Amino acid sequence: MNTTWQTVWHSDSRETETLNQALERGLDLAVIFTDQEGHTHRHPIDLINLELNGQFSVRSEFVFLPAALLDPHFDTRLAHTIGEAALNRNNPLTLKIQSQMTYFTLFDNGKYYRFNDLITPSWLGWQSLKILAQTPSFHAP
Amino acid sequence: MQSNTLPSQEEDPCQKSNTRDDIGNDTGTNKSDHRADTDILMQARAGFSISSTMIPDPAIPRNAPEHIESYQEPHIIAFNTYGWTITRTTNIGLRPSNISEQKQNGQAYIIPPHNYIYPLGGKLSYFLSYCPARNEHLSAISALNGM
Repeated sequence: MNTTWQTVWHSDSRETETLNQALERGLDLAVIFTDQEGHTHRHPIDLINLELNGQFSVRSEFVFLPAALLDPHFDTRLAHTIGEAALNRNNPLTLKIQSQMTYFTLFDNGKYYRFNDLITPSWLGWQSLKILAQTPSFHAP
Repeated sequence: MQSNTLPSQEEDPCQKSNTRDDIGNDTGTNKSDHRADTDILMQARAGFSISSTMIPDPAIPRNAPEHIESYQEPHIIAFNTYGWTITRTTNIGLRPSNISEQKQNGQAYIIPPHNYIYPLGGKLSYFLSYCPARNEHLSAISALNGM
């Protein structure tokens, strides 16, 4: 059995019928969105609330992340510096880095927040968003 | 009830392939153009899911695993040409282990929550181990490029 991912909601069309069908079929969902800095996120969806008027919110699964990954000023090439340094030691290099347990809750109105934003509270905005559904496809042997 | 009105395969970029393909690997020692990683990020933006498989390589004696190990990478954060894929946090929590014995043998031991982070788009590829339960540290545990 192979699985495929199909787009069931896109912020360009905002049509919710296909999303509704995916929910009725109980398909696994994932969300892809572009944040204000232009970074792309893809996370599995834990739950989704679809209102009868078409408004919805989706929440991703929890994930433990190094907080630096959520910092738009973080240079991603730091990971490779870490790796190169580790190769020059007898023991693997360990870097203490702040931990962040978070999830992403996104709304169809262009806003989202993370778990840690609940403290402030504060809102962030997304530029584009699409929801994917994983559909099984069976092939005869 | 099954529905037939989901988008057809021709309408969706995710449907160009419905099988798991190897779109990037680290068996080569020259990755100067990073094209494989760029392809991975481009396809992730299009909706593809990502899994990783560690395969034993005698050329990396320090890091050579004794088995093939596969992970789903459900969380992806992509910058322009760089990105990260992150495994689920508890993916190895069920592995049986004797911590004191492994300490004596100098082997790595891991306490959940724990996940692996794989950076994409650099000159070299590393599997980063991240363990927020143990002093919140990030370690490079494997070089995947045949150093």
